[in-house]
Amino acid sequence: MIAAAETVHPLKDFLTSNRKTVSVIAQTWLDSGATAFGISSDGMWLALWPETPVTGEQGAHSSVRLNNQIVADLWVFGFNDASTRCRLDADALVIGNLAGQEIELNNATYELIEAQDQLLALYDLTQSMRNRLSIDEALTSLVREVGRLVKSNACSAYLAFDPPVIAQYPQPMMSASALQHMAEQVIDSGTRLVVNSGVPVDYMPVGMTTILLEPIRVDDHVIGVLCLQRVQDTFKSPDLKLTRAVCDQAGAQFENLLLYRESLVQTRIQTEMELAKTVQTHLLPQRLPNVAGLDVAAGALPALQVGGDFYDFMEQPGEPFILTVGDITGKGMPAAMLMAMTRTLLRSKTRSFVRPSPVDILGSVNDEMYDDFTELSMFATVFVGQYDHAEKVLYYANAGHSPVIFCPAGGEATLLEADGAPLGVLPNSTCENQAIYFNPGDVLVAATDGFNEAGNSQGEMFGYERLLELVTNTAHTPAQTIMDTLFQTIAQFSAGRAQDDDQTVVVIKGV
Amino acid sequence: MELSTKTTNHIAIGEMQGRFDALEASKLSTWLDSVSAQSPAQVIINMSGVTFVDSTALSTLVKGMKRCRQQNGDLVICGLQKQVKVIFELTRLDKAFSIHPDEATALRALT
Repeated sequence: MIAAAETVHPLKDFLTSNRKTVSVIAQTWLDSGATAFGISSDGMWLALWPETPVTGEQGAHSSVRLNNQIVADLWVFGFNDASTRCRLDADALVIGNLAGQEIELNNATYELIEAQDQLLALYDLTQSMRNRLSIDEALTSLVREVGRLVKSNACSAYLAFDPPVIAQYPQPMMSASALQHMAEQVIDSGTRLVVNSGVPVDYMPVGMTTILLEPIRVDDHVIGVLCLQRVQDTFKSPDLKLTRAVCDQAGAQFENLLLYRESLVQTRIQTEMELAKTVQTHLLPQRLPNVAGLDVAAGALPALQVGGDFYDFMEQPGEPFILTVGDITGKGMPAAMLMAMTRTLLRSKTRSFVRPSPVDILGSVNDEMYDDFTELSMFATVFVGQYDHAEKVLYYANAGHSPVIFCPAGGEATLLEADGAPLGVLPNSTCENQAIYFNPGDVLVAATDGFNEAGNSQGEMFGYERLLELVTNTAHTPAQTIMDTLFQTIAQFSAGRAQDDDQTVVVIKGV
Repeated sequence: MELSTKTTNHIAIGEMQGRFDALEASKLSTWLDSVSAQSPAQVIINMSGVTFVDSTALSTLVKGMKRCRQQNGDLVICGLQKQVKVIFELTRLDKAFSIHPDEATALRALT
């Protein structure tokens, strides 16, 4: 009738681990004359001393309680008097208390292990997100780890970036637009949202019971939402706490990523600026030309964000001396690259013709580069001068470049206006060859707009008038002095204001 | 800079005010991209309210002009103030653009 217990009983673990203690109690009963002692539940023995089943004998019993619930009965056979029942009640109480304490201890241990698991999982989450360099990867890693960490059937995350970033694990729980719709509610309110299936909302996915939406914050600003779904269960306080902890951690990780991304962009810009500056300064002639009949000075002061200014000299035996000064619209690397191309083409076109005129040079460079300029929405203003020492003549053509200033010895400086549109504006160059006598004492200053457009703290530009006056007043000094005075005067004028544009200048003076 | 736009007889007209520099050129550039998508692309830029142009502004206009010409049309300019006209003359962009004294003349030139 009574058989050994087969189902898992609340006392089973206790009886296994404390068999010795219970055996002592049983043995004391047997020693005092009892024929058998045992613990039963639902008509089955959990433990019995001696192990042979007892039949037909009358015995006393007392209930063992766990948390005020009767879970088993203590039996003793051979006696059934009042003192036996009293002693048995005391034993039942002791066993119940001992078992209760043991179960509590086991539960505490289990919780501790689980808490440790969660801590480890949080650590894993941090590690796994830390190694991701892109927001997409970090978000995917987040939903994967959270899916493991907080028991849920699906996990999604939404970051309100432009465009939004979405990750769903193990598979999409709802459409991206439904997720976005819910996430934006949380972002607007800034507080957690729990949606139960009883709530009539059209975006609740079929088969889901509960959705938990927890905001992800960076600097008190909600940047996204973590969304957890359960099919059967609702989310309870420990789940909510853990999810909050995960989102705090994720927020910190995203903040780091955003900062990193920002610094990466900064570094890229910095690198590009450095590179553009290197390209520009290294392509400028490293030494001044030695030209019969001319005193030459040249200099360039690149702005923080480098533009596309350049100058160049070409000396070939038996050929006239050629100087070029130009400015590519735009700034940074694109301008520096086009500047390098334009300068190289100007050199090669000069060499590929026999005594090319300035218009030959500018026209062929325009033909060659028109498409590139169009593609990049840029153009270049270029001045080409060709000095013939024997004739004492300066031939030139000017594709939209200014300021180019000519000051005859003892006279007043005037602008040598451009005769054609800049390179890259029209499919065919409209430049014309010009010529001026260039005698001893005559000065030509070919500069870039960084001089006349230099501004002062009142927002006033230096302008052409001041520039012409300056050249007139310094034309009697050597080329180097004229140039130095130009740079110094502009620097004084725009004192306290950042230099917006490159300042590049070539000065030639007849000697 | 402020950009106000209208369309008259299939000609897109952009009217600008104030400084026309790198900071503001992108606004015009976006508008030019949209109006030069059709063929023929006919555009008038009324610059009577513009007091300053820089090189980025000029390259935006050049880009728009090229695009309109590719689309069998043109981008013409009208109403240049003296100091802005000087920039067009110094850079010889007055040779590249069709420049008119006012909007009515520009409209007649395009129709």
